[in-house]
Amino acid sequence: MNLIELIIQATLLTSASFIFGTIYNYEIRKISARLQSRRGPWLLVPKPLRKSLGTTRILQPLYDIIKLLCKETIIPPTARRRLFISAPLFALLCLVASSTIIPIGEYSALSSFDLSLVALLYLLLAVPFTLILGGSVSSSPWGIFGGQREADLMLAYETPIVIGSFTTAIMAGSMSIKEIQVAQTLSLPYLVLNPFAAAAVLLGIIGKLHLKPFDIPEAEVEIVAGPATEYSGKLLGLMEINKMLLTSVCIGLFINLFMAGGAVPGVTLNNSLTVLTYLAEGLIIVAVASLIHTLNPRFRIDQALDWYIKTAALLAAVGLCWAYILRHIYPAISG
Amino acid sequence: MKTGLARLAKELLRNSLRPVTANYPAIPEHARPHEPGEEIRGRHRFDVEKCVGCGACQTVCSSGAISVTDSGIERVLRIDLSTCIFCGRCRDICPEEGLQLTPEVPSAQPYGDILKTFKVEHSVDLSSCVGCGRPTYPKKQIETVRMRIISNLDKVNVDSARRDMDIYLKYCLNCRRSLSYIFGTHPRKLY
Amino acid sequence: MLQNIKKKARAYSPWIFHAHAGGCNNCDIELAACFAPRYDLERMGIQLRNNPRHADILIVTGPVTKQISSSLRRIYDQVPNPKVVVACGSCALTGGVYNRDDGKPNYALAGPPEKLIPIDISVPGCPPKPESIIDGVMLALEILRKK
Repeated sequence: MNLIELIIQATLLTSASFIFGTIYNYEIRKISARLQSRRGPWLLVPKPLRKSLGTTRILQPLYDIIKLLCKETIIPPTARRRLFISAPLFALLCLVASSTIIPIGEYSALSSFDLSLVALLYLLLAVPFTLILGGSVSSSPWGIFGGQREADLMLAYETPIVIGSFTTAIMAGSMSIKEIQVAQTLSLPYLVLNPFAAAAVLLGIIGKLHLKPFDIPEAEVEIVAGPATEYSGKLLGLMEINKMLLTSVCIGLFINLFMAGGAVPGVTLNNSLTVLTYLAEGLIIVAVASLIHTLNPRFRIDQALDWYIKTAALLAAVGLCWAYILRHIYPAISG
Repeated sequence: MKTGLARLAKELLRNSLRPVTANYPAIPEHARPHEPGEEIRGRHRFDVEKCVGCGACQTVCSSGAISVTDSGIERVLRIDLSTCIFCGRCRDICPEEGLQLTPEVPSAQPYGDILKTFKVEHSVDLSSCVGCGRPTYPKKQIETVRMRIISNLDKVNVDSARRDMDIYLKYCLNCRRSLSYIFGTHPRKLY
Repeated sequence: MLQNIKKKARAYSPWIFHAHAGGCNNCDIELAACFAPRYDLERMGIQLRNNPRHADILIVTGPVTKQISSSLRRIYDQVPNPKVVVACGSCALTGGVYNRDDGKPNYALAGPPEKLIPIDISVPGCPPKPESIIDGVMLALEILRKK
């Protein structure tokens, strides 16, 4: 496709990722609230309040972002100003770039070039670094603690994600996300064929999105807000936008690598309905993740590292061996 | 562990299908007490018939929210709801049951309007002293005291009490002191 | 049109910071009850944050003791504009039950919060019922919409 089409599809993919990320974050809030026997943000506002509070609050995280972008920004005078401002901007850049690499259904802007999986994992690796940087240059001990905890946790959760993703690349025989997606339509989805790698990547994603057993860097009661303590106003709005995009990219990665990118037995990849099945599968995965998020307390950092190495990295290694075993048992998988 | 997990799953399902949230801002009637028989101490209400203006509520108020001010021939009892802690001591000590705490809880206001709606007022008339003309006690208080004494005193003393009260309840304290020889109520005259 | 979106977003997602300025803690318990399942303020998109830099609405409870009076002024300065201050409970309005009977100032108080920071909305009661606090927050949303 030529350059203009590429740019248009990339823009549409980024906006769709942002909207999907908003809906996923709304779903996390709603499910956690419902499991605690209260209602979450309203899906349908009761009639007497519709005039002052709107009709539906399904885009509640988007309202949060717009409100934050219209507020005054207070930058502490002893912080390093340029690094402070450019940390969330750099994360935004990486996430916008990575959201053009994730295909949604049949629309894929940049996901069909060789080694797109490597590029995506590399870009996603830069996001925790910006959190650590932003926390460390805000002249506040809470930011430094938060950055340190994020550094520790990052070592833990990146391992299962990377090993699990490369396992699917081995099973599909290519490093391009589009090829992996297409290879699953020819055989079974890799969620069924290699559940170990799927479980490892899912557990890694729960850590990456800072959901509850692992929301250690943003611990509320212990360190005031972690790396985001000194941020306010427009920069905090940027951090929230990053959170939406990160949610969408990570869930999209899981769907494309393990669930055939939205292609179910009735809907093939060339159909536009794959966008809807993509969204539905994303909602199911987010429901599982938010169930874990609601029912767990927060781990200590050493418990989190321990757990990741003993359970998740082990599962990823088992998945890798299983991929090689499958190559002998089920040779229809290319390899 | 299996039965624990099954119970957890059942409870989670029940919680998510039946939230206990009261539909408060949409339906104001949901702001009712939790159990039917509970008394909520809210905004005060002076009973116009019963309150005599004695000021007993001011003496026991825990936070000094009640103020009794005399001006001319009128006594104004004012309760400042922004200082009141709704303890109910004023209601408990009122001898005539003239002060009640209704279940209407005062609600939020913008800060500038705080003095206009956050008070409860009641005024009674004061009677003036026949001798010097200064205001003495509320008329209703004097009437109530007279009726109580007459109805509770034994038959031997009622007539003399009535005669005495007719004379000196019209005077203020200072005039009573200076005119006590004339009224025949000075203690030294009795022996 | 953009102004409309801005005002709508400000009213649809206010974040609250609770500044505890002394007192008996009862108003804080009632404020925490507002986020409990029975009266759920999360329905309106309101979050209780623990960082004044992230907040729009500042809820002050308690009569301001001398130890916290300087911190209260700093907290108020750290909340970014546009902001609304809600004084919750009778201690935050006039000193409440900590007033002396003879009118002299209390030895431990630095005055009601009105002397330190400008207040927009008052919620009376001791402690205020959660319904009154919810009414106060809805009034604060109206003020935020206008700012």
